[in-house]
Amino acid sequence: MIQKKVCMLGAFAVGKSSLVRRFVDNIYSDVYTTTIGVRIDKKIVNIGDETLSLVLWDVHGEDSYQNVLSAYIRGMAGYLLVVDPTRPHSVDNATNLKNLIDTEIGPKPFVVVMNKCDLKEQWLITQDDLPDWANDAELIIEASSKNDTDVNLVFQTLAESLLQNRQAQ
Amino acid sequence: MRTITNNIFSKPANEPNAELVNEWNTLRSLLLSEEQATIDSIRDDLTALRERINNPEQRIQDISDVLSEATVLSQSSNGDLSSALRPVLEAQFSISARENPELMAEALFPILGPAIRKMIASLFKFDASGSSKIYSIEQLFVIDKETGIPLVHVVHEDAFAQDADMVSGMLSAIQSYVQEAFSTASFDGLNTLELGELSVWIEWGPNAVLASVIRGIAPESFRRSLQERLEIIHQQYSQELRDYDGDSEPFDPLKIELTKFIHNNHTKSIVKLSKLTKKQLVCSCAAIVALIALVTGFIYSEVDENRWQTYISQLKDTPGIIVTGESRGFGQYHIEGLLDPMAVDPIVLLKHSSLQSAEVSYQFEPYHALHSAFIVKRARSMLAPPETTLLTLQGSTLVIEGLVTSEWLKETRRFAPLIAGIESVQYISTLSTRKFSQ
Repeated sequence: MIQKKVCMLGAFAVGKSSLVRRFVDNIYSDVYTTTIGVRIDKKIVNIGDETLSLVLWDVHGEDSYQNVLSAYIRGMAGYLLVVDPTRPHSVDNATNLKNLIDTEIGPKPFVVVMNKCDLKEQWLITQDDLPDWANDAELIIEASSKNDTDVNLVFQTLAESLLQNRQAQ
Repeated sequence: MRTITNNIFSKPANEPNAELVNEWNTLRSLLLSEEQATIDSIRDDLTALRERINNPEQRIQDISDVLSEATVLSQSSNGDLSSALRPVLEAQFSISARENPELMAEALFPILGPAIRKMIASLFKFDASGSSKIYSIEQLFVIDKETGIPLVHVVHEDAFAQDADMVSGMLSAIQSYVQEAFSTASFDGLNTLELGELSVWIEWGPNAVLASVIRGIAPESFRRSLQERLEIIHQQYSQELRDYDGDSEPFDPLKIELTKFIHNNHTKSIVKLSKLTKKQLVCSCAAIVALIALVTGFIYSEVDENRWQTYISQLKDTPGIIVTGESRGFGQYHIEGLLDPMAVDPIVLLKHSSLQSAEVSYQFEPYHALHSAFIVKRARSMLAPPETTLLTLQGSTLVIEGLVTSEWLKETRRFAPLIAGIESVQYISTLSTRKFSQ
């Protein structure tokens, strides 16, 4: 079985942890995560004949954890960049994160998640408003952890991309 | 003798005789054939030698064949060659170490550990027996250093294990957090997490980490066993570790070795634990998680205390702020003191620290600080001089420079000494150097 480290990245309260909760099999204690700013879960994904174990690093979006962020993204194979379209500022945060990743560890496959599509009437931006870097994404997906809209698609898309990358190497 | 020889071998000068020449040749071949063959052989050898010397590749090959023996010989005799090579080797070693330290560290890792242990062992006497200690290895993790993903996870059949991916990830995250929190570039990894009779011992290598969950008190010699085991792993799997891309299959043989290692370190006294109920085992497992949570909590507390003390020091160093008391507990912070209205707002300073502003409460009493900058600022505010006027403070004298009205100057001389920190006024006109002083 192939194992890959995947990071969940995005501003504070964009819904990263909710996406993970919808997706993973097990929920572990939150005690330590509030201390060190990251929570680790995993999910087994089947793609064709291949089985992939995604080790998910759900990195907190608060400013106080920004210093340690560089260390947390080290060794990741890909990532989900989550934005909250009801808060356009979260896109600026995503831009900073994307730049940090490209600088620190080089470009990696990623999926952009426009979360909270259950609140679409409150969205202040659309896909067209995303910056140019979003064109590099494997996919831009409108999802909702509340309604379970396309949550699996988000992870499945990234997993397929990671597998393709591995086979290409 | 010479006369006879000349008579026999010399050819008549004016009359060449073919028959005589033939006879001469026959005689020569009879007499000199052996020497001629030797000369031919020498000529061939010389040609071959010349070709060998003129061929650089061949020369390299020839030298390499004898270099090692020559070095050994030189070392055992006068050591000239060793002395000649030393500066070159030292310079090259230094360049390699500087330009590619990771490669050097990786190459040296398997030999450096044993060398250091040997040196320390020669300096100190260890209690290597550890016989009085009772301990049991319940789990072993070999973790990819870069990703934090477990390459191998082995659990003793009597132990209860958490999800290996989660535990490995947590250890990796804690390591990253601690390193960042204390900002120490030379930090070479967490080595021990402890709670009661459970502990996690961690050894760090260039590419992999070996973590061991231990019940009981293990002797220090066990840490050396772990170090040696990790060095062997780096020797045997150096290529696989470098090429790791998420597939742990190449490390499967290691599982058998580590299982043996666990069994060899599972003491009989601890085996009794296998009779524990499932509930007790679950409790043990929860204790491991609690252990890690507690340790991280402690680390956070230490980091938080550092941040708090840094903030307090910053306040104390700020003109116009006097801290008379401070307290910290359970995420709540309190500061008491004196605050000049003209001082920098403590909340502004707080924003530059990593503390949450909502968690800090202040109780500041107003006061007037006697810093010269504050006195001048206060004087400007109260005396309202023309904008072009320059106010400075020399000792306790307020110095006024620029054009002012005589009425304003008169009022200023009367009121300025009422401002804390000002005892007299000195006026310097820009039109003349006349000075008026009170």
